[in-house]
Amino acid sequence: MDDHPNASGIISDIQKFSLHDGPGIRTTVFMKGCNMHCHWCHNPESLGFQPDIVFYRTRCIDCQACYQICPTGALTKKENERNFDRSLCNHCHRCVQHCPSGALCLIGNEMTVDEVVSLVAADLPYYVASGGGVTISGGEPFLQPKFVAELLKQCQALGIHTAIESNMSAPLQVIEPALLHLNMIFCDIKIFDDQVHEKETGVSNQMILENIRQVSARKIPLVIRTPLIPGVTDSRENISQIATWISQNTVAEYYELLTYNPLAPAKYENLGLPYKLGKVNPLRKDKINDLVAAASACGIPVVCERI
Amino acid sequence: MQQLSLEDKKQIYSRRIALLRSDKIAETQKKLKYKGYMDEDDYHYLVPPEGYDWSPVATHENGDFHGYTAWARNYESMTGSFPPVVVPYSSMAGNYFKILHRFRKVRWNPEYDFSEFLPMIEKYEIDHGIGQVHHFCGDVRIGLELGWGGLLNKVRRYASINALDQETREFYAAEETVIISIINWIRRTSQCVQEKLAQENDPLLRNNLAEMFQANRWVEENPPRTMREACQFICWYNIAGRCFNREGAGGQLDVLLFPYYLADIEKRLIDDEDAVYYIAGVLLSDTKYYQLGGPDENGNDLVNRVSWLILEAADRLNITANLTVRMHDGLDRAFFRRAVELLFEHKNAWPRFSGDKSLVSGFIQNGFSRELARNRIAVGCNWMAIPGVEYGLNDSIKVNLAKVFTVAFEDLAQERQPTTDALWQFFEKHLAAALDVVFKTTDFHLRANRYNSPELFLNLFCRGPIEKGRDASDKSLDYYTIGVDGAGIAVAADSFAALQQRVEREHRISWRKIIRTLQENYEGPEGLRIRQLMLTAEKYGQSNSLGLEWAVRISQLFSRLVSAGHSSEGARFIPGLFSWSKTIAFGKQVGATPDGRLAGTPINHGANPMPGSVKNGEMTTISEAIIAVQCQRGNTAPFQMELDPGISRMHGGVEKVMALLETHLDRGGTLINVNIVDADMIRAAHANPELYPDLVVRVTGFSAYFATLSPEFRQLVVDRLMEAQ
Repeated sequence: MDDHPNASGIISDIQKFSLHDGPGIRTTVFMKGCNMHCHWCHNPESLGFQPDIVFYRTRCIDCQACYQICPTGALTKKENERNFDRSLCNHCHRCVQHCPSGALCLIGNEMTVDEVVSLVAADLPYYVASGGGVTISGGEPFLQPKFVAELLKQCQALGIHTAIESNMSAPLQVIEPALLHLNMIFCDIKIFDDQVHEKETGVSNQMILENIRQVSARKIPLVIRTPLIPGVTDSRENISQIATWISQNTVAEYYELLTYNPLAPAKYENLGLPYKLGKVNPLRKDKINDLVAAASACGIPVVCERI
Repeated sequence: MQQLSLEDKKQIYSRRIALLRSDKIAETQKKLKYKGYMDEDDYHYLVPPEGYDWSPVATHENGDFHGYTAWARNYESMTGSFPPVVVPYSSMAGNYFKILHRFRKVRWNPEYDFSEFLPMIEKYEIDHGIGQVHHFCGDVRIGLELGWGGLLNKVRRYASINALDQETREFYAAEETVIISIINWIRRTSQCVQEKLAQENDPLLRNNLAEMFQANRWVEENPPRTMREACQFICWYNIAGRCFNREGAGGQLDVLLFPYYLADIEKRLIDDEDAVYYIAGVLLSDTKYYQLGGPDENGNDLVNRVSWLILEAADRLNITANLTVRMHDGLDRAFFRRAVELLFEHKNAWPRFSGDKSLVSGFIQNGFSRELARNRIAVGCNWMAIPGVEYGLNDSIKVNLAKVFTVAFEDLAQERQPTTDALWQFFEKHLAAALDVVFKTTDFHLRANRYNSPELFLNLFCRGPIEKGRDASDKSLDYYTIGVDGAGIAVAADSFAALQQRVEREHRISWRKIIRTLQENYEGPEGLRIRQLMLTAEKYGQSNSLGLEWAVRISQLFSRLVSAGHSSEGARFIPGLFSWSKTIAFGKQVGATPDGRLAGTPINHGANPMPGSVKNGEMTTISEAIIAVQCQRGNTAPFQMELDPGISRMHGGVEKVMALLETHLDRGGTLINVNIVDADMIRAAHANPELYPDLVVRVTGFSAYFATLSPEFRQLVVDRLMEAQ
């Protein structure tokens, strides 16, 4: 599906009036599928490549339509509680089609570039007025590189400012075609220590750092981010090391510290996934300020919009 | 005060304004105890002192009073009963305690029978125009030029020319009584100022009272000469008009005051601090609707130094203020930015923003010139008017489209083979019938209202009534452009869409079943299932949805039928979409609807989609939907915009909101009311989330419906907003 210019991609969501994913008013296209496995990920619906069934318990009216239609017995009722044994699910999605209340939803749509461009372009006047545009996010966008490159190309041809949020862990030649059509890049350096990075995300950070260095040399405006995950990325040492590396190897517009998003656990529950990070308290204000100060000491502009 | 440095003066005035603000808040609390919930703006009037007892004299056996003489004499008596109000630290004197109109019981003179219209009025539950008052705009410049004494002379002069019959004599005599009542009221207040002056020891307050006395003594009869006198005159205009019949249209306040400001500045009589203090007094006198900025007849921006000072005064006062910034291509960008910043700084939902482009091009569609259209300014809840020459009954006449839909649906239920095409034909027929009643009742009002509730106050500030000896409701103005608002467009459109999608296209439910389910108000487990099915159909507000298609179709039909309305009295009808605060009342009139709405529950607000229709409350999507349903005739279909206060803390947040407002209005929107979701509201929603189903919070990258969040997470948002404050 990703082999020709008018290819289709798997999209987990398209969010209009997005104000946090780059300059101005934007539309964020969330690509489905990620090669990293960060157990704190706040977009678990974007992790897998295939469409996922999500269950919103509060919307369920217990009409039993899903039990009756499920051909494999994945959906049953046990002790007055609706039970969804995902191991039995054959992904026929008939339960979603028959759910009247939207309690069962499918996350992940196969869409063509034209379809996405048409949705994105609908807000063109708002991008023009605000200096906004489109941001491709994920999941990891560069796992669907041809689709993404074509989408960016077509958006740019319409005069739409383009940005991407990527973990930059794909080989440079995979990323390369999209770079031609990007006005801005947001990328993460989550953990500076390579071994810890690999342990926490499943991926080494060596290629990431090299890619960021290469991209920075292309003079595409670049923002580097670190999500502040309590107990994982939020040490002074980690932030200082990353900030130092940024100051020595890039010409990033700024370094952004992203505060932990506590919405994530509910999303895991809706997807029937375990939330391995467990219960975590958000960082205190003084701790955040300390990390901002540590990063700023390296001589780079630092941004942190506290939630 | 002139000897003080600007900084000292600023401190003194700011302290006084802060005191006035806390007085206002205390008075509002008092009013809540005295009157209970008000469900409307409180207009800044005062609770009467203990022992105050006044009631009007009835002139009809129904216990009500009607016509010129009865209104004038009761007004004279009521204003005479008001104790004078003088606050030594305020810049302006005067206030009131009662609204004469509110004493009326029947609100129509039964000698003029309109029972022939009642069956149709009741069938469609129409808010018709018979007996409606004000909702047009006086031109305060007439008073500023003449003063109360000059107005009195004008009335007497035209009376000597025109008062040839009993009715006209009565008209002029009533106008004379109204003016003399106001002059006497001001005179009594001036005396009170003098008495307070004699008792005051503080030199600065003595100075203020002395100036207040001079200003009031002068404007008793004379046209104002200075900024302070002009502001005091406008205060009396506000108070005297509001207590007559609740009249609330202001005007282009910055332009009205600018010549006085300029003259005083040139003579070094005042500085900006004095001007802010005076303007704060005007804003405190009443919650009138004022427009700021906008184009003049030639398209040049009207923003001047006074426009800024009005924002400054409103900023320091920080109470309810109905200020509307008129957006156009030439608007001062810095002024626009400051207006948006104030929205976030105070979260008090002011200012609002109106769109010159579509208001002007729409009004031109009615056959008027561009110059005239530009003079039609924002002076009401949802409405525009040309001060002094246009009678509109704006925001008074409303057709509940959801109700019309249910009447049409009842007809459809009798059909052997129901279809949405057939339903549309019934809807067209019933909407035409409902509007026919609107047109006929408006004509009836224009023929007879002067015998019921004449516009004795606003007549003085219009061009025509005094000159011709006829009430403003009696065709003495230049333009009779009657506003007719449609309400509940989302309920009607979503209902058509849900039927088309779920019944006709998907065959998920049969016509017979949905008809029976609606009759049973979606009761029982099966009703619940069907309701969810209809609720999750494509809604108005969503991009490229069936709901949007139907909404556009309904809006176009409504606009066409209203614009083509015939009036035997020479009026034109102008369509708009607005429910005012009647979303609950109108909802109670309507049974269960195919969009999944339960019987008796509220309809949508104004031109907004039903709460929850648009994913994550995406503002650009809602904006485009509201643009698509504009009636394009110069009246509004406002966008009720709810924003998270956190946006202002984001990098470039204010600019993003500016872009959103600008783009909506540039692309055809007419008026935007912005609500910043406040921490108090969040707390209340935290306690009872079910009462706030459409409250959206922005978290970091995400936005989510507050009610859908877990209690723990809601607490987090509450804490965050508390911290932000």
